[in-house]
Amino acid sequence: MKLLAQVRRVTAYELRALFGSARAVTVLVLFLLVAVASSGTVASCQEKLAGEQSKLQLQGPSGRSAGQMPSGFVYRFILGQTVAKGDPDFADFLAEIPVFFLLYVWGCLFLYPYLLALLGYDQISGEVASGSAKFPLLRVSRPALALGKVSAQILLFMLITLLNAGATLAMAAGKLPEFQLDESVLLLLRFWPPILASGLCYIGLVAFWSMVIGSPGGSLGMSIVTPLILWGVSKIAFLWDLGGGYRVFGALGYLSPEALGWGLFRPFDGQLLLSMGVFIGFGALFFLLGLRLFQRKDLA
Amino acid sequence: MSAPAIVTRGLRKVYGNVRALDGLDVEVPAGSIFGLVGPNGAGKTTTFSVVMGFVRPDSGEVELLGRPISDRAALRGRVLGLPQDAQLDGRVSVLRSLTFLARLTGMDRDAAAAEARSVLERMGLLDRAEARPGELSHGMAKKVGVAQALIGDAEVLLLDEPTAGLDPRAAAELRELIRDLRGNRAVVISSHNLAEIQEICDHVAIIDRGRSVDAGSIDEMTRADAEVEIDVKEGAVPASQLAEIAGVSEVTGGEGPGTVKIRFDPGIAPADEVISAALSALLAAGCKVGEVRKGRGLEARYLETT
Repeated sequence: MKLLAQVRRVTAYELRALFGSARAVTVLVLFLLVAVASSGTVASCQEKLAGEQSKLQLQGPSGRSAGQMPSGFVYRFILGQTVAKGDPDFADFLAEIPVFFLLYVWGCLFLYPYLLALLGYDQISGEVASGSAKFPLLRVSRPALALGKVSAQILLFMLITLLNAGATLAMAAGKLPEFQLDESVLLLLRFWPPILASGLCYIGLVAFWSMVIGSPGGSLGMSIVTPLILWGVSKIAFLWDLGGGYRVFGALGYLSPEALGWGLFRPFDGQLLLSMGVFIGFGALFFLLGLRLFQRKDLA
Repeated sequence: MSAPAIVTRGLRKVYGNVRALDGLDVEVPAGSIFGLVGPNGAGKTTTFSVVMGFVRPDSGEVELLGRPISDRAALRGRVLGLPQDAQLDGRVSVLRSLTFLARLTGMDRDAAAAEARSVLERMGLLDRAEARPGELSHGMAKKVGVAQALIGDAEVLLLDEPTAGLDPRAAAELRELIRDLRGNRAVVISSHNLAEIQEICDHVAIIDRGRSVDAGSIDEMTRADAEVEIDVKEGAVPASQLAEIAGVSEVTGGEGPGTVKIRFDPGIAPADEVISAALSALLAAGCKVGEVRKGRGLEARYLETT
């Protein structure tokens, strides 16, 4: 049987096993709850702000200018200095996006790595520890097994992001006064590829640890700690750059895909594609490196 | 003549300070039921792991079905087995797990499900098909492990202590099943139960400290074709008459009741002829015979060599 056929069969089996497992369902429900709760909170805040703003509008022109201008200016300034890296056009583009959806995307990019860790930390290490990996490995190669399992993780992740987006849309529809379905759907679809690209990076990372570490506990720990380290490295490098430190330290940030995390918020341009490519590339690198080590590993 | 099922030459594997394999040479004839015996830590499980492709040897060569072990793509599915302490995936039912494994050998969905049911039925476990592996007893889990090895049409089966932990009935059934596999494929079994190995295997290798210290057919190893033991319960043993039987080279044992050992040259007289002649002589001398055994038993050989 050809490699692709083997991968397909492993993926199909793994998806069924994952759907039937209590952990996958728990993680999915947990994330939907977090998505609904956080988007609900943001929506409520927006609702209150809108209420306060309309009160100020009723107080006359002076109230209006006092209520809107500073907050819009501060918001643009923050976006310009953080996500947009000082690019005013980029800051303008971001400012056009409702804060509700911007926070949703940021939340996804920040939290999905940990969901993916919970979902897939033992995809290989769990089976190596219990010895159950040996049964399929008598029939298919290690790359076929690993690719099949990681493909199942990718498909499940795509499903989770869609469900999550659906839950967020429902929350926004219920809470936001100026909610428009078509614009919101387009906005979520526009951010779906960057979210997927980021997820692919961490799916690769989780697969790496699961292939390299023999114990499920160890692979879970490293799958949770490493995204924090990658995030921290890029932020430290960014702050170092802001402070005008040695460029070499700023360059260290590029050891982490998160150094280009801001690019995932860009309008559809070369920088967005570059950032997505870097995330996917890091994911592929993690996976291939893990696979290389897994192929050399003794399954005693 | 077909190539040996398995050949290992100078196989070495070191874990830290422990030499699990230290130049192991073993040859498993095609179509044989081969026993691998040795004390704990002798290297049996490591040998299985190397042959099944789970462990990379530090040096040495392994040939499976005439091909180097590095040619995994050509060997995959032709060499199956029961790895020690391995459990099926606990997330799904036994049937689904076995169906998946059958699918990996290239079967379509229906054929795979039928094959999974068939091997479960063969092991008497069809009624547990929908159970999760964690819900099975140790013995049942072991039988399910053997069942997965029977999926497809593997030419080499490696069963690492297949009867360990099974109750006597289940162990006997499994031995019967392994005997039924004779001739269709090579089956390699490791076990501490030497009587079991002697009963079902036709070849055996004794390994100790990662080396093969003795190997051959069961008849050679137990001298079943060159030695007979007869327990005499009553009467005087006619030793001189026994020594005159064609092919007999040595008769040992007391003149009175006890065990008489007769060594002979199988090239001159086969064991059955020697036994018939010896029994005739003993009965004619008025002896009462309790038991006749060909050879010395694998245990005696094992104790001599390890």
